[in-house]
Amino acid sequence: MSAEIRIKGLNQYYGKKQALKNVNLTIETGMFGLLGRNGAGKTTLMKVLATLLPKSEGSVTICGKNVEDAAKIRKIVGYLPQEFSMYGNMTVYEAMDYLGVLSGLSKSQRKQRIPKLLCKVNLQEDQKKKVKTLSGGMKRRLGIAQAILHNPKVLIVDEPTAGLDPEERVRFRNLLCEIAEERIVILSTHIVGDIEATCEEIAVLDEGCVIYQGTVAELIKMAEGKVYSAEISKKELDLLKKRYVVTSMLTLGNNVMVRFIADRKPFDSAKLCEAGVEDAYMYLMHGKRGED
Amino acid sequence: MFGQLFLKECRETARSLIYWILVGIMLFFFATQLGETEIAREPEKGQESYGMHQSEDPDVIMRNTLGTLADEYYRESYTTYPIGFAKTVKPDKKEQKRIGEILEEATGLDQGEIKKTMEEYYGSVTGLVAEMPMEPVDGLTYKRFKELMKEVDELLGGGSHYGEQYLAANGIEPMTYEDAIKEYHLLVEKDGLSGGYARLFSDYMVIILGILPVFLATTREMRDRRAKMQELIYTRRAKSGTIVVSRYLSMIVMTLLPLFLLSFLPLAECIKVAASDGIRIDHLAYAKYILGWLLPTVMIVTAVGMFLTDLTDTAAAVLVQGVWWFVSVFTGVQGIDGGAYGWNLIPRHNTELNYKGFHDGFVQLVSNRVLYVSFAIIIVALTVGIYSQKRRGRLNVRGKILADRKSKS
Amino acid sequence: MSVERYWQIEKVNLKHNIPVHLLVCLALLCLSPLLMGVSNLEAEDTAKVLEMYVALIGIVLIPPVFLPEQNREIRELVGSKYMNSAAVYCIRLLGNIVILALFLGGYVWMLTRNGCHFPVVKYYFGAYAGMLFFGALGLFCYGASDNIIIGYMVPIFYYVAAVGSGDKYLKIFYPFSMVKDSLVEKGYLLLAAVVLAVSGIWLRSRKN
Repeated sequence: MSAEIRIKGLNQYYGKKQALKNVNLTIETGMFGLLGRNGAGKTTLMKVLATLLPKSEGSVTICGKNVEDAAKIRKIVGYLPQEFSMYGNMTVYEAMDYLGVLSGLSKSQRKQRIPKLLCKVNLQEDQKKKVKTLSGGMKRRLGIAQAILHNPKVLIVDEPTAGLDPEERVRFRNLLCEIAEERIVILSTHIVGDIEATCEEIAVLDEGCVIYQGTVAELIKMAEGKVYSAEISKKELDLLKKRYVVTSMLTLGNNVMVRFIADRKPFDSAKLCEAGVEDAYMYLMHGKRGED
Repeated sequence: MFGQLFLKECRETARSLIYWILVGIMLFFFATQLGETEIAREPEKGQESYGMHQSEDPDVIMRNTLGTLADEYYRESYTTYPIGFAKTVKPDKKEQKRIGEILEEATGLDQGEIKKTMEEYYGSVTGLVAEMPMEPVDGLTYKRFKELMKEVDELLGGGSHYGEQYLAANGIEPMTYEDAIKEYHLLVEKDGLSGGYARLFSDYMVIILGILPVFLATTREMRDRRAKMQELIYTRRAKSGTIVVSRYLSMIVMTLLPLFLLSFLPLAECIKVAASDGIRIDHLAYAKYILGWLLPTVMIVTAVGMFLTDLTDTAAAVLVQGVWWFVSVFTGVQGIDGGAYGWNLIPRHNTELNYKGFHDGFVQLVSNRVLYVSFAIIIVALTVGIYSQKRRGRLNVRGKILADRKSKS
Repeated sequence: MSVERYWQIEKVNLKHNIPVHLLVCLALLCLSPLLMGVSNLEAEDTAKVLEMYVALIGIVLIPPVFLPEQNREIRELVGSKYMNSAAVYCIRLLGNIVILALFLGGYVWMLTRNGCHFPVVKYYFGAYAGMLFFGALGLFCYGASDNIIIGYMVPIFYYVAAVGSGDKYLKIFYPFSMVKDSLVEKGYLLLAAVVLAVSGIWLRSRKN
């Protein structure tokens, strides 16, 4: 049976505050990206899927199993939170072994899988190092390794590349892509580059609502013909910023090269540009919503 | 999974600083309190002193108790020790009158005569005075005497010299050679020599075991949050019961381990003496006492530590257990020579002798220990429930949810 | 360094860090009449109450001085600021020991009102020294081990050792000497308290 996550009419509350509003999503095998501002509800959604939060309203099934059946879900889901660590005084191997026991793996399974996984995340040389001596990037890689230790059908990764250097980030993305070949990998991020490089399907959350679900290509299409670049003086910059959403600025001496979003060509010197994911995201968040 | 988890937890405990401080404290306490214990030999005639004991002679007890009562009645001020700290009680007119009536019945003297006797006594001596014993009236049965004294104790709010627990302590007197021989034979025949010393060992160790395990439990339960590892564990397949119980059992086992090892020292001494004196000893005495006397206390204190830490995510368990332990220790001072175990968390028996007290109080002791084991199991079950709920995102005292509820949004 | 800034730090301490601990101290003090006599006591029994019970609130209020920065990341963040972390700890410590002085004062006053007979000033300072000693011992252990549980455990065990062995091993650092009307030990305990507190703060503020 291929892995599938179905979310229907999910409403999630924190006391009086509503964190998720009528979320409807269907997620299939492969890399699925969750984009959105901080506080949009990405982590909340992921925690509901990982059984860390009780669902308030709606229906959520993972591979046909109701998310409220925590015991069954925990067998098939692997989770890597945004903030985590491990017992500092354990070595990398010991931490993996301990978590392996908690995942119900037998001694032989652990003995077989842990070295393989540590190799996969490039930590085989650091097996005997204590967790507290690991760098941020190494910890994250260890985090991924522990999340797939029990071979889950679904992997949920919350902001995995925040704080990693560019090389680490690329390595991480590639790793996730490999893992996604036969699984669902849900990746939340606000680093647009992560999405560009890895995800086919994405959903964009804003204030608890899904404001977009579809492919990256379709998202970009939305912003076609709306992205312009121009070289303007610094004095004109403030005025431009008030009128349009600026997606990038580059200072060139006294002038500034800006890239911005507009419905039609605003002035002669503006050049139409090819829309990228970031532009499309910004259009979605500011431009399009402005229209609505 | 359970077995492997249990072993891992034991190993992690053995690597933690707090565990070794705990063991160090146990060693220090053992060395300072029990280090110089000498195993008893058969008492010889003509010794200067054979120690003190609680007299079983009702006359002695009655005489001393009534003397204390008359004295306090005269001064209209009574000292009680609800938890071992002195508390002065001044009864109202009605209560004082009733106490006077009780004194009359017990001594056969009327209140005026009693007051006069006390006045004369105080008038005739200078400096520090010991209490003057008062003779009970002829025909006063010990049973009636106890009833009367119980009433006085109740009037005073408990913890007085007249309550059941304290009564026997009023009859402290030096042992004679015959008394000492009797105690020695009880020690050898009924306790198998080592039994008495195992009891003494338990008496001392239970004092610190009434508080030490809470530190271990609290540290362990707070560790996941500190290491930011909670979510990695919560999302795993392992059942909450497996996680909690394996931790609990590993702490119990690791706490008992040093006790068993320590007990070999006094046991070896007993074996040596037994061999030279031709006595048959109970080789399993220490094991029995560690499991029967000490284990229940360790179980309940560890359970309380885990429960409160999981419930509040703070070190509140240390405070709660600290208060309970404090009250238990100081309340236990009254029955320190054993036999008056009551429902105390920390049952005392500060002597290798007094087999009689142990025998008489045995049923109460067993009830006490069974009660605490039962409570411990219940509390562990509740802890599993709490852990399970927290795992699902409920009951998170320090979580975002509660904080958001508090703020206006 | 302006006094205003010191006061701001102490205000935060009072508002955020120690309210619960203050409540616990008050609860323990208010609990005492139920557990023991606090009226018409002679000097010896008053000393016992002060030394063997009231002094314990030092353990509740002093070790938590380091608690707000328990999280290493917070510690590093705060440590990189202009104001020295040691200064912050000292301000909190001073604030807390002033509060302890006030609590003790209130309690001693209550005892005198209840007809207890004892040398008030002597016993006040004696009990205060004991309080500071237990607290500073906990503070030092917390600073040395980075574990507040150990910070609570060691002073409690010191107490147990004192009850169990008397002054045999603890000698001039025996905390219950006031019962025997001896206050020399209190001077040593006070000195030890200062040394322990300063060392504890020094250990904690070092940049690793």
